[in-house]
Amino acid sequence: MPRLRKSVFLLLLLLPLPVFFLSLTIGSYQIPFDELLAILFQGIAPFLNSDSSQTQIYRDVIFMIRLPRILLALFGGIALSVSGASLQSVFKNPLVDSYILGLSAGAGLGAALAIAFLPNIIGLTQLFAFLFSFMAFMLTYFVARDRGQASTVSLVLAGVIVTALFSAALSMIKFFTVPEKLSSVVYWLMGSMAVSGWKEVLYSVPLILLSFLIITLMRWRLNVLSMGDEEAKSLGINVERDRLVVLLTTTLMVSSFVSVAGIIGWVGLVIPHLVRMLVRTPDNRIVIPISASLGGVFLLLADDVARSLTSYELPVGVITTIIGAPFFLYLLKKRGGGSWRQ
Amino acid sequence: METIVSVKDLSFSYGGSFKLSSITLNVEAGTVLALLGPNGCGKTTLLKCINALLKPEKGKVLIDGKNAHELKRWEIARLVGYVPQAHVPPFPYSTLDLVLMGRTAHLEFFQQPSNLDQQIAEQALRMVGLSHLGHRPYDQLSGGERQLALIARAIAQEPKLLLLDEPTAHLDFKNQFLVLDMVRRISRENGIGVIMSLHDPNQAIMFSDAVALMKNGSIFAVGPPHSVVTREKIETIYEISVRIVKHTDGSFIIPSMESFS
Amino acid sequence: MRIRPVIVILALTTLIVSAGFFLTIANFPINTLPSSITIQDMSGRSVALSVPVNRAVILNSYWNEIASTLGVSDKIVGIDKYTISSIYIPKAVRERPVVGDLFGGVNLETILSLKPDVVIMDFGYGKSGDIIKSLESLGIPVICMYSNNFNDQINAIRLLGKIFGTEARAESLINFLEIRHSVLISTTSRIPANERPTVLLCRVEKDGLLTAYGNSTWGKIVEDVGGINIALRSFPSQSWPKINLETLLVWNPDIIIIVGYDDAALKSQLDLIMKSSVWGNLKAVKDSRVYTVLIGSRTEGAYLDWGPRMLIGEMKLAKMIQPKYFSDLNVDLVSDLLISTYYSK
Repeated sequence: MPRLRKSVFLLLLLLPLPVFFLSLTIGSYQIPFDELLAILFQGIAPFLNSDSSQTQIYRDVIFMIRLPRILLALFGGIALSVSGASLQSVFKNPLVDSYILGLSAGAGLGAALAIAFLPNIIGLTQLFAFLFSFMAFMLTYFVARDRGQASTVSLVLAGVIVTALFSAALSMIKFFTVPEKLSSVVYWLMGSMAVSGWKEVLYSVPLILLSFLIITLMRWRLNVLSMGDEEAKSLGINVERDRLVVLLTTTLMVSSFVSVAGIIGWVGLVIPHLVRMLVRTPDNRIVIPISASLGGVFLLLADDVARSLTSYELPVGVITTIIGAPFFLYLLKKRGGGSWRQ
Repeated sequence: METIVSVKDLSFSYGGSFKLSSITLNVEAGTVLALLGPNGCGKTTLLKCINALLKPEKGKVLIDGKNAHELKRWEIARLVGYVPQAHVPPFPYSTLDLVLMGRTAHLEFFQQPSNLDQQIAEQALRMVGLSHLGHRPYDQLSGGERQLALIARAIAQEPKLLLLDEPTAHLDFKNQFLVLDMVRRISRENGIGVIMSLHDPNQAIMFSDAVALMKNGSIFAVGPPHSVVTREKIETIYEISVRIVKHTDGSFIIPSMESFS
Repeated sequence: MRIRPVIVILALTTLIVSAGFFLTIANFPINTLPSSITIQDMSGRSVALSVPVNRAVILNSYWNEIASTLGVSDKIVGIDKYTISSIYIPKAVRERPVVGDLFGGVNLETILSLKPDVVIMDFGYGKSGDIIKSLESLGIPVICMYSNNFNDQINAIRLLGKIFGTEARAESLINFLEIRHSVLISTTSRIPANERPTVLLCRVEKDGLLTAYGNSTWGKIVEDVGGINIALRSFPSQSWPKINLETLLVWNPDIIIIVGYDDAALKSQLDLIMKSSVWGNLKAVKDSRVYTVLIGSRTEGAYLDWGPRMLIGEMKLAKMIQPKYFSDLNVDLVSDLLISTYYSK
């Protein structure tokens, strides 16, 4: 089998660029294409002049609504798919994703607590979602730890336990919550980037970038970690430390996104899977960067649909599930259990 | 000759009834030590203790003069190459990528393998005669090829000591000898010390420079093959009667059929 | 693979992000309104607004209903998705573009494309906080509304009248409502304490629990018309306390009023609660003083809702709770008058 051609690799890696610009043109507000070009490139090409009376509002649409949301979707997709790919390597199982460590249950509980019992202060829900998803992860990790070691099986089991515990607490809160606020909790869990602006981008993107950088630098180590604890140790890896670094980093990555956008499923499962099929190798040196680019593109396109298909908003999490779940089923059926194999 | 590894009065226990007690062994550069003994006698446990995957209760393991249990994982991996039994990993890396993993101990935390590492991996693959399979997914190799690829990975670590856990298990007749011959050649040509566990005393006679017989977690006898793999000693550790058959290539051990009737 | 993907990715992301930020900073909008008055909205914020507004996006059905009764339905350019199902709002309004809702979020771009002078919406729940913040950052004035009692409804009508420049019609509607409301209140004031029954106004949830109306607009109506709202007395600070059947038995109210959005909902709620063993032992059941009330705006004859129809709801509750004192109250007449005067066009 020949290695992935460099040109194909570059093409896949650069795919977010055209999709990024395409997304800037999509939306329920009609902006003439020449105006759009003028507004976008005025800074570098002054001859593109836009002097229509509508220019100010076009600018608002592009820079205050579309751009922050596009960036959030792009980096959210990166966070979800890269964390999925990393955790699949660490857990030696191509069917896990970032929610296995109790992250979603933790974020859900934190958000619900804030919505139900705390004053409606902007950012408080996000902060609680972030803190609780991190807490869920730490709990999972320390429950799983035995004599200084956390084996894969005990981590997965601890994740299941913590998820169950947090979900029960969430149900408890739902139970005590007044109907109006209850629907806030339910909608929060659905995941949406409907009203995200620069603030949300500022809260999440730097953290996602930082953790993405760390994972990218560790992508070779992920290969070795996926060989199993004893083999990885024999190959010179401090398994407990490296695995903890990966887990912390992915948790940081996912929870900073989940805390501003809610829970959006299937990206972390479908994209790395698709990428391994596409590039025909499980080598994380290729899988991690390509997962980032395709994950970003996927969530960006899904969000484009969510915000432009109707005059109102569709929950983007529902769209990723509607696309992701059947697609995943197709992958599994078509290729058998080991769908990334030849 | 230079001593690569010396195990001194090593004892280990998992907490149950099984334990390793007072193991003392030495292996010299360029020589092969075979561990023989019935199932459950502690061969794999001993290999893991030497590789510092398990921490002994007593005694120590000196590799190249350094206490293995005081070294960091990457320091050990630069000294010891560990070859597990051929297996199917969850992700089907290409054979070359698998071998390249042997270079991990030589990389910084955030470093990816360089071109030099790539060349070393290719060289290791060539050494075991698999260069033509480098781009084939590892799980599509035959059992023998997989075992050779794992050996190549250990070689890519550039170790002074090679540990092999039953390298002939699950291999067909031809491949068993191919792999063992490869191990011996690599040991001689590169001055690497080798400790491998085996099931067949005859393979120990043919391919090792020294043999350690193990029984119930301790060393029963250790020395050159001809002085250790004798009828009495084999009968004692395996609890079966055997015969020595002389052949032009040496003497071999076969079970005496009377003991089964 | 000889290239270094890290470097490419880093360069790429840095490029995108920095380009984004650069362009944003370079084009940061500065919004000014030409001439405006300052309006104090119901969350206490001061909002600069040029009135009367000609284009409004209203994100709650009851504020849409009030605006329609004020005769400015043509100035509503965008609605929320719950407004569609209200039969008390003119069809033309219900066919306006739906921009989302306060729980799921709104499509900011759609709102912007409707070029509203103002967005009118509830505050304090759902995604309202984020929506208000986003709209304001886009330079769209937001008027926050809420209601905790009858007076808030009057204030809301007055506020909307001011915003749409229909103060006269607003005052006429307020007059219509206040006169009749004050009659209720003054009648109630004559009722001696020992003739005031304990009342539970509630909804039966699917899990068999009851959501009671306590410290809320509807919950307070119970007290206004001569009942003792047992949920409000037991949990003075809670708007919608949830109670179980045991608490119901302890409270054992004289009157139970079950609310539902339509007949089917009422029927299934009744079926559920009547199955429970507690039911037959309740005082209200023995005395045949269990009532149902249609709420919201989905069906003909629904009268307990925020908005002008709340008056009819008050009167209906008054007749249920104090039939003796309110025997001369002709609810249907007032209802017909309200609908024909303010809801016809």
